Amino acid sequence: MKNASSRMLDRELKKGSAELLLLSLLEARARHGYEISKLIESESAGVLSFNVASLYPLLYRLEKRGWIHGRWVDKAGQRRRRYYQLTAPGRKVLRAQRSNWKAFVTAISRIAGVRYA
Amino acid sequence: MPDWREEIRQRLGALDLDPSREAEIIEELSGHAADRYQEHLRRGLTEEDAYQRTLAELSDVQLPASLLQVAMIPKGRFSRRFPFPARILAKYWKLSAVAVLSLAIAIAASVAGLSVFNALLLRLPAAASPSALVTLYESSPADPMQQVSFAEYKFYRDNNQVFSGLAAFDYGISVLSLNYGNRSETAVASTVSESYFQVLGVRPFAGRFLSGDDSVPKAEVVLSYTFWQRLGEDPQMVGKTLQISGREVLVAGIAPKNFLGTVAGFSIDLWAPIRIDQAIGTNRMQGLEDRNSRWLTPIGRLKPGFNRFQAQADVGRLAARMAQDFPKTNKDYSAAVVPASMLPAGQRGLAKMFSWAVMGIVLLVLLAACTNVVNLLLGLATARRQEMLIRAALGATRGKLVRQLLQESILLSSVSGLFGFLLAYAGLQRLFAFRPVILNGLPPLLLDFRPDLRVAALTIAVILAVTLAVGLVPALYASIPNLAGALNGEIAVGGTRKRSARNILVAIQTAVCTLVLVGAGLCWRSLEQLKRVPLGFSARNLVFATLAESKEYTPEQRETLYADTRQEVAALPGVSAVTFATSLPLSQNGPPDRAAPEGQENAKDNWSTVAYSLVEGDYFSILDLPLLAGRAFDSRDSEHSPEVIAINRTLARKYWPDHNPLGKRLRIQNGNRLVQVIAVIGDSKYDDLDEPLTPYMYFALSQHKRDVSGLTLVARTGGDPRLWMEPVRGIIHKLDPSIVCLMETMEGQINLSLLLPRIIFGCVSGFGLLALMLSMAGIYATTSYSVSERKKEIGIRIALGAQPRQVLAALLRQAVLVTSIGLGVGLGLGVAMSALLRSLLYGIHLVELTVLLGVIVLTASIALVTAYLAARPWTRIDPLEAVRHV
Repeated sequence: MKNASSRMLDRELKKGSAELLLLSLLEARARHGYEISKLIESESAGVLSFNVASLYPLLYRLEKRGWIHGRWVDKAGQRRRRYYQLTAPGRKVLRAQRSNWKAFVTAISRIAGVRYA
Repeated sequence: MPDWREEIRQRLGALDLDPSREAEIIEELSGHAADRYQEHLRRGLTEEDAYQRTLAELSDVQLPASLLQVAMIPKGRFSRRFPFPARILAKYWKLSAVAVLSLAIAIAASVAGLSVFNALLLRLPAAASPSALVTLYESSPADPMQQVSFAEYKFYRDNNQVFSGLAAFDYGISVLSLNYGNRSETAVASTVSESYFQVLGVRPFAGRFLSGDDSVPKAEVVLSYTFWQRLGEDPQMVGKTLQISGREVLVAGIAPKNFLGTVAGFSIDLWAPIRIDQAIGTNRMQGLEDRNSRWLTPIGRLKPGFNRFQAQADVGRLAARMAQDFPKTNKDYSAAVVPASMLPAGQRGLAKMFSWAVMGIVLLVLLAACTNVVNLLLGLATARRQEMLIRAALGATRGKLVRQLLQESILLSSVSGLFGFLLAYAGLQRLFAFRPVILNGLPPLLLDFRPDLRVAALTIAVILAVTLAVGLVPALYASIPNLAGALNGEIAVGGTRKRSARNILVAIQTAVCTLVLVGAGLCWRSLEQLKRVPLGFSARNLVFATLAESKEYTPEQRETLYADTRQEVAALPGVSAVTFATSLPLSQNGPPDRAAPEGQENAKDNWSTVAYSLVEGDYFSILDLPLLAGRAFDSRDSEHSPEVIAINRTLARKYWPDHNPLGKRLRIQNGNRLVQVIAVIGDSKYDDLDEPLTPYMYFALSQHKRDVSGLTLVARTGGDPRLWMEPVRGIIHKLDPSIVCLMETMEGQINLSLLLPRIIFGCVSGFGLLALMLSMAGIYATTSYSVSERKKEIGIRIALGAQPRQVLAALLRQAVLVTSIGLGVGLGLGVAMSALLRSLLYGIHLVELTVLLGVIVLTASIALVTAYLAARPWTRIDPLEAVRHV
């Protein structure tokens, strides 16, 4: 079971930063949903975790906005999976969100750094 | 491995997703769940634990809601969205079923109407490019639509400049018996010119078509495909011979399967050249060169580049030339060209009237059905306002909503259309298989009203019109983006504007229903009047047989045949009297003659066209025709005595209103004879039951023995005359097997005269019933919707102490008002319609009180009962419940 704080983080992420997270993960190459959720879990060392219910609606929303594009890929001996790929508008959005996020994080750490220093 | 798909599907079940999208989502999510489950197993969890863990991750309450947000309003691709309306209609299945059923029945009625219209007026012979085919007829002051004589046909054929070919055929068919090997068959034969098939552009299935000159007798025939099959489908048939009346007749060829001839109502078995009668004796021979014997219908193919009006001018010129060259036979004759059809020119007017009447009623019923469906959909739209508003809130534009609602009505009308078309097709197919026998001995009628491509195309047009008619209004209404109104509870209470719109629809429907019912009532009245019309003679216990000789008889042989027939039939037990006549009341009369009183022949006005029959002296007593003055024909009237005549009362009054007509003389145009009146006979019906008093003449058969053939035998029997039909036929067959004998009873003949009025009454009352059903559904739906909208009000009234009876009365008041308005309008239109129909229906008054009262009682009582049934459940509601639920 997740604790209350990770649950809260989850909700926060969904609100703002989750989009950035997904777009970033798709920047290098196309990935399928399960792979994305595993990556988030391992890269964040278990701090962040997406499950079915939170991940897919987000993916569909990004797809609907035209930032990512999903297509089914068949591989021998495996079930077919839907791979999501960053689109050109998606790339633009990613650049913009990334710089916003950097500014945001810098601001937060500056304030936080002062407080905990 | 657990079934993740099922788990996912269960969790998505509440969403109305596009099915293909739903399938994708299920596949993707269940794939993810499966991966997750495997991962848990790899980490050393037990299967049960892994299952539970995965399941817990799936069971996020937010899943459906968040999926709904992104997937519920799918992308705007038409095809991907199409199944969605289907699910919506399935959800409101009761309403949809009523709507589909109403529309299907109405569309079936339209398809049937269109098919009848098509078959009677539009269908062309199965010929090559039939639109270039025209038929030609002649007009004279006496008869505006006449066929042409053989001599005239030849003249048109050889002198016109507009036809690439002109053929001729006889709309009158003949029935003949023939032998092939040891088979004996009855066949329907059509007489055609040798160029008939070439002009129609039909290719033989086998062999060749007719050849040579029309004037040269030739014993050859062309068989129809079905008749060839009936004869045993012999592949070597062409070149073999049939025996017709003991003569050898060559089979020249076989027509293609789809070619049934050019005579509506009959499937022709064989086609014979014009002069085959010399070989098989169909009694036409004598008149072949007689310019007055007009029995052929010319059918021509226009040369490329020529139209009907140029052809009209050309044949008009030829007719004028003939009028000049042959003033005796062709004076005042002109010629006209009309598009070819399967009906003789003279019958087209009637067919047109009948078809338009059917179409008119069908349109009314369709209107009623559409009104009904609009009404139902308006109700549905009210119920769905909430849904529409949520969709609008989620970002759907009004255009999108209207489009979606229109898709629903497209689906609705397509399903109804398909259903209706199949219903009509099945019905008309049955009618096609039914083939009613109208006259004993005649081949059964071929009622080929089956819809063809043209009807199918028109049906699609009807469906499109219906879709727009029933879809647009409710769609525009339901999609009014009035969020505030919804929040204020406008939906629950119901706007008065929409209610009055719906009431107008019901009033229209009631008016239409009333109108159709009045029409049915008028047809019924007319039919009853016709049944009770005084015939002027007694139809009881009369059987008659028309002896169509198919052999050449000498007058002596013929006389012997008739004498033998008379003797043997009279000897049958139960037969009390036997007589012969050329034509009987209510059966086909021969061509009329013209007559004028002696001494007044010079004034044109004194000549009148009068039908006649040649009869024997006891004809009047056997038919109970009253002899008003003078004597019946007897042995004094022979071929050597001065010619005498019996006239009916109308003719006597016309020429000698103030004098005793006995002993006076009439000039008869044919042969320019003077005949002396020896009797006045009571008036009776001659052609139709609804004819006015008509002048009529009787000549003595004994004075014209040499001129007549194909007489009709009449026998008075001692009981049901049908019992004597077979014995009489047996006697005639024994005397000469080649004679085709048409038998009927006089009652059967009267029923035949009533056939058309009966069919019309049946059609109209069927449609009336339909309209009644539709308006019942309309009233029920409207009442129950308007009542359900007033639930709150009812609740308050009951809470304040209103009795169920009072509530019911309040609820019914509206239904009564609407029905009364509709009824009033319908009755007004009905009276207007009676004025129009008075010339067509027998014995109808402008205001038929019985009919109008009957319709009022029927419509009003059914409307009230329906409204009562719809409203009653609401008077028993719990007031608290009603108020709370608003």
